[in-house]
Amino acid sequence: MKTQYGIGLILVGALCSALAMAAQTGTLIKSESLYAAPAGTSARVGSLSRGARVSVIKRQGGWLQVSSGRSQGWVRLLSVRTGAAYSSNAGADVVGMAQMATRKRQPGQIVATAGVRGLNEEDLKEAHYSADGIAQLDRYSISASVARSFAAQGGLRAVSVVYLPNPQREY
Amino acid sequence: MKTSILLLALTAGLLGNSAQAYDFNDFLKQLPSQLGKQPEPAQPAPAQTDAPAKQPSLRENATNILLGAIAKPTDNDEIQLGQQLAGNLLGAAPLVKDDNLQRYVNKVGRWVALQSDRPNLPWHFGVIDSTDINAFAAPGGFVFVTKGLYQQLNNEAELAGVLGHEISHVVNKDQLNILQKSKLIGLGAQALGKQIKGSDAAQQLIGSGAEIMSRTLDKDAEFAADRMGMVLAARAGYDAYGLPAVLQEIGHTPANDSRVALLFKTHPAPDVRFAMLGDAVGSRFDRLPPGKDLQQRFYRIK
Repeated sequence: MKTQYGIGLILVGALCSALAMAAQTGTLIKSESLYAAPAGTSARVGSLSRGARVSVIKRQGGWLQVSSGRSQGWVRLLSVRTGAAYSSNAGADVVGMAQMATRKRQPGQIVATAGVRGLNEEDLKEAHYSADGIAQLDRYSISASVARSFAAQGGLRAVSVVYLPNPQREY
Repeated sequence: MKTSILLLALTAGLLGNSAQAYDFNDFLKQLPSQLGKQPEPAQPAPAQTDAPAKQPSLRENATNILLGAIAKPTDNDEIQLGQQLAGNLLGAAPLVKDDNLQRYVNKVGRWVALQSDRPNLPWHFGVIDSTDINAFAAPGGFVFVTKGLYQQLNNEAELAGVLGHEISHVVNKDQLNILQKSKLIGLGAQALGKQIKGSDAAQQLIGSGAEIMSRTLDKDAEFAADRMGMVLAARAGYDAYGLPAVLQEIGHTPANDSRVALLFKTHPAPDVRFAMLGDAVGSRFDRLPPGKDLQQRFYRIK
């Protein structure tokens, strides 16, 4: 029994691992260092060239733990274009994978014609002022103090962050 | 995410603040020649190369009108214009009938806006009933996300990032650039005559319906709004990477999907925006405390 249980766990583990590999692949959009830990001050354990394919293991803050061939390490999240969304909970990647597998996602799905309500240039051009709409909108507007209470309820605290400079890159 | 992520965000600002004064001055210099000639709606090009106009009195009058309607940098003028534009947009796509959704979006949006340089505007947020994937902003603090975009979001941090992008367009008064680059202001001023106040004037200034919301902003304005959107979400205590996550998600939508037609037409490609954020962020957020995504609290549309 014990042995069977153990094998079962291994199988489950392998399955989750396979699912993770399938669900989270990515491509390096620039050449990057691979780090031992999710920190730019940690040891460099390798490098990845632009265009390299990686499997995403999990995310922590602005970092993704990835594997590529026999290399494994951490790379900056913003340097990897993922093929699927990644789990936002570090350490809960298996749960995240399961959610991802079952989450209702619709990329690429062709929307049925019935019930479609698009918003194209012509719609915008022909639009007429809705006084009712503005009145409704006004009713939903809230004060700064209500917003602060809402933030506090969620455990959100304001952080000092300076604006980001323009990287001056041409596309 | 214009993705808003996202996102189609158009925002406008009527007036140059001190940081934008040079732009506004250049803008004013262009006005006399533009206003002095007959309207040529088929040619949206700037008017710098036009020959000197021969109707100084008209030019002078038109310039005065514009100065009265636009050059006075009051928030109220901007709000009036934005409300007209917002009302027109709601005429095309009404608010989703879900009180809890609308209240929730206003709470998140207001909290993010409080981290901006214009915390005291009368901010309004709304989810509009459209399957399109897009987001919009209008001068004076009006921000909209389509239901189609909202349903792509996975948590509150992503919503905060999308709203942050739109809030940035309002803060930066980006729609002024759209008005400058088009002849909307010039034609509007001619049609205005002496009537420069009130909703009629606002409508004249913004052209037809909410058409200006389908215009393309300078791509640098979009990249700037992405950068500021990330920063505002981070300041609000959220996971800073919500906006890029939405960009990733939207980037997976095929370009021929009609839901993203307008967004893709009016914004740089999502993967380019993502890459630009990568260049801008670099190691700058390495010491940022971990933010919250508040996935549990995220309001899901039934």
